[in-house]
Amino acid sequence: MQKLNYAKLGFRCGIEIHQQLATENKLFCNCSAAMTDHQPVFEIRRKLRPVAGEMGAVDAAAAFETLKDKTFIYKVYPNETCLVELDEEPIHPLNPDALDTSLVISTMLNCEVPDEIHVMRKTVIDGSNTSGFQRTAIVGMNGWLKTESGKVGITNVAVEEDACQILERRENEIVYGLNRLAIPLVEIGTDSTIRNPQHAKEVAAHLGMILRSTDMVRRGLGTIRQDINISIRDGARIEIKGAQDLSLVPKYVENETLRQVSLIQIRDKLKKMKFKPVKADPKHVSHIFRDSNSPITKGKQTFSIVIPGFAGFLKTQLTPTRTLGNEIANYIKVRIGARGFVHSDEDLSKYGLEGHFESLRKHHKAGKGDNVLVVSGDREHCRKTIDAIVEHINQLIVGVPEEVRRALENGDSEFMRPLPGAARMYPETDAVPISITPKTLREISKSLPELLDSRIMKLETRFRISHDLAYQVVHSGMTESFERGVSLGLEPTFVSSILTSGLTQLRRKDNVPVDSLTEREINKVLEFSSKKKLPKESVLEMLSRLARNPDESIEDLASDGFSEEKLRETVRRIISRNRNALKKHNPEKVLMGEVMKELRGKASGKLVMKILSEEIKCIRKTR
Amino acid sequence: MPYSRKVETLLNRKDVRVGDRILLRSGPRSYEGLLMPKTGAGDPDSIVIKLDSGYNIGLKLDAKLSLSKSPSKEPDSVEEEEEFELGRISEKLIKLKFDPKKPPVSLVAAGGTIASRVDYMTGGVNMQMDPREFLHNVPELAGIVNLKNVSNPFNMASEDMNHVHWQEIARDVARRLNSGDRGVIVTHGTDFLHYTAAALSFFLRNLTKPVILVGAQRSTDRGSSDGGMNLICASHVAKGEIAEVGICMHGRPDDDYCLFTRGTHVRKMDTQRRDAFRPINEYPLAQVWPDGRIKIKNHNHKKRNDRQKVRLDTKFEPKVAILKAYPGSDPSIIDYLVSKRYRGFVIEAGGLGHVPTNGKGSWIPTISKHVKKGIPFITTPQTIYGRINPNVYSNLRVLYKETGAIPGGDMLTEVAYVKLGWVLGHTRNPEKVREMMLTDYAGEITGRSLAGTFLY
Repeated sequence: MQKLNYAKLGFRCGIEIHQQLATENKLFCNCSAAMTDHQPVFEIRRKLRPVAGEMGAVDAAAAFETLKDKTFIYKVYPNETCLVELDEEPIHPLNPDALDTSLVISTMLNCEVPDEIHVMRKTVIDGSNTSGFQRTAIVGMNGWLKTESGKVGITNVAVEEDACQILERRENEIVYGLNRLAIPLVEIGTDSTIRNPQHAKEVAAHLGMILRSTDMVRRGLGTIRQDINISIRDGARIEIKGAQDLSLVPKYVENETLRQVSLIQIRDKLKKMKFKPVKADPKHVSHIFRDSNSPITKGKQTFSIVIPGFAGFLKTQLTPTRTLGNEIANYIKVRIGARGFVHSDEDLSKYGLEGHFESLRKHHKAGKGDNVLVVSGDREHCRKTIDAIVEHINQLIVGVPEEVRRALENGDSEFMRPLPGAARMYPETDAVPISITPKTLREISKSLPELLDSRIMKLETRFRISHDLAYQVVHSGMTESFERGVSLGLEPTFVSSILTSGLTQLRRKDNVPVDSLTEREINKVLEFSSKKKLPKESVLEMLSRLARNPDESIEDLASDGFSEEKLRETVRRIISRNRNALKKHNPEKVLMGEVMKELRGKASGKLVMKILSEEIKCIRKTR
Repeated sequence: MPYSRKVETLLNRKDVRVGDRILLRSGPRSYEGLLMPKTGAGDPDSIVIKLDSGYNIGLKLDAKLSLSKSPSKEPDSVEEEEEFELGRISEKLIKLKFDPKKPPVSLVAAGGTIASRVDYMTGGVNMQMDPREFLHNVPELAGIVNLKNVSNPFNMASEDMNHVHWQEIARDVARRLNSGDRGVIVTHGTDFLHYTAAALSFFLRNLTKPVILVGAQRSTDRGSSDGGMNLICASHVAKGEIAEVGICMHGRPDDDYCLFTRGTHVRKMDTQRRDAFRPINEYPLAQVWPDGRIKIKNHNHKKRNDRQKVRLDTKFEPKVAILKAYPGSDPSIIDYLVSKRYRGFVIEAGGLGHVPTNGKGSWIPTISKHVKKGIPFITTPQTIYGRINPNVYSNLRVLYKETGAIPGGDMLTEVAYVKLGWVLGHTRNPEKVREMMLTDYAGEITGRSLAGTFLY
């Protein structure tokens, strides 16, 4: 594929990040924002109606969605849904914690904060919000952000409601979960001065780092979503939605740029050829395919259309993994749910239809330069599909259409819907405007959180540890415990492995509720270890025990057998109870089971084995 | 609350009006947008503008702030927004065409949320909508009925209404029914909708066609408004066979079906939910789906007879009060009201019909005194569900047998209030009043208490 010179292409790119805030409650009610309810208790069914009247016409995107005539099913979760999410109750006042965090973020991004914040209703009629709109308020404007490749402007910072999560798509229904609805989000939009794919990644990464620096944002899958806006000269504005994986950001940007470049080249080529818009005039050709055994045409009506001079175009690569044929097939799938079509640019042998296409060419008196397309199904379906194909082929002469595209896991993207016009926005009349005083802003500026990057650097120099280690400690949010442990004389690598991979392993593998551990408890365990009251090997066991039994104290547990001395006592007692075992070939193996019965959860097997063999050796010696 | 005088003065001096494009500067900050009216709440010193992004922000008027008219024109995309934002009714309304072969039905638009739009002057939801305009949000109506006439006697929140408005609505309804319409739909605010439903039930005598009251619990600016489906279901009822006055609103929080419930046995039971209107002490008359299916749930109703004429009987005595008996309540309030020429009382009584009976706080002497002077007292259950029974306890016998209060049976307080006003509009003869109050005129007194109606 071609090499791209972004500056010459008139490349413009901006990023929009949506980050969930780590508040206890939702944005406009007292429901939990934890997303830990997994079992819905019931569901409700709703319709949304387009609201015409005031504006005379509903905009293109709105019409597109309503054409689908959908029923929306909303799943209700006991701790995370109330009448507010069900659109059965007016909102309560805006969550003050969410406002606070969004003001902190806004200030960190050097934004201007309005004196009075107004909550707006932004029309959304895909059902992802029960009310038919999303509530959103601007908390910052005209800020900036610096990365290695340059400065980028921050247009807007807004605090807003998250949308429902799609659980299932059915033919005329969408099933949504109400637990994610109205979790506080901060939306950050950059201006369109991002210069190239790598710069896009830098900006996204830097924004993510700033957000995490607040310690007030949610972590984990689905808690941050980024949309990328891209256009080039002569191309069109494209919004790529749902880029989850930061490392793919440059790929999305590059592929979209390639796609637009290719579409512009196709347009120019067609213009040069004096390609005329095609009329959708499908011919009934079932008789030609009567003897075919291909599942594509068998038992169905088949219609075909000839596109003069269009041979070869459908196999043009738009991106490394996407041909124009793929692209049009995708439009058809989204717009009419059809499986697609077969065309003469394809390898027809894989369908066993080469002969049939030959006859078809003769039937239509089509030349080598013409493209022959075939659609099967019932008559109505074929008519609609061919209409849509022709519409998209004719669009190629006009140029790149504005679209919203879905980010795919291979770094490519696919069509979702036409780019909507600016969403209709009007005041949320159930919310009172909020005044932000200069005093509030001064206080926020005074106590801004230190950036993670600078925290990592400090840790590196202060404790002479590697960047990776410092990164892990800082990102686990355990910096203070780390500093405490190291200052007590413990090895930095030991402390960091306990605090990062150790705790993660307990959480993931053994389902230990480690998040319930307090910083004080963790520090105390480290202290016991540094004073040799707790063997290194038992530190994780102790943390796991404490997390599972919040009522137990470290002191009691340590004297109850966690210290090496106590462990040894227990081992000796068990050996003396099982003297006979010492006569066997491998007494460690025989006794280990007995010992672990008592010591499980107090010390690691490795440590116990070590003590056990030492004790057995000792007894044997004394004999 | 409007802008402060300080802001108003500045706006006047700069000759700037709501909707004008202005430039606000404050130190390094500079914003351009449309001047918005001050919403109901917030700092009166904050000037609100709508940015080109669609967002509103407020900037406080202080020494640093400067305001000027903006020389630049807004982007085209903003213009359409602006029209909407400022509440100007669009000229581009689609004309709804009705089919003369469909059953003729009329609509009386009497305000409420169902006919509301966002109001930027108060920051609230205001009833200003042209009735033709809200019909454009429900084009499905054209496929169900031939909407012949839309009258708009007033646009009003239901809390602002009184019997005069009920009489006006009743007159409009009767006129339409007697000129050949198959049914009439009344759109109305919901808070006191069940009072109007009761009033129409008594005012429209010899009713042989459906009269359906409809409201919305969610404003019509949102895609999720319940008003559209309520109207669609109501129009199915309007051409149907049930010849009663009733309320037709959502039966559940789902957009699944509506309940059509008799106007004398329905009550708003929740401040906010779509399914707030519940039948009380009776099954709903029918379940109605937006696709036109109607399932009869209560066979005790009058059937359509298009040859009959409705008779209007709207005489009403407004000097009727509702009082609630509660522990420690003082009956002397009755003396005060009588001195203010109140002519009848509905007492919301406890349990089977009790008011404080023995000891110093007893209501009995006061009620007794006024009953003897010919003022009627009727009791209703403050339990909402259930029926007054004058015979079970001795205290009840004192109130109803010795004192002469009228037991209201299973009538709702609101219904008893409307009915007493209507009865007193016809007679003040105590015996006649008692007889009429105990007579069932509009299905308001049921003979049987059915187990399944509780919390229906």
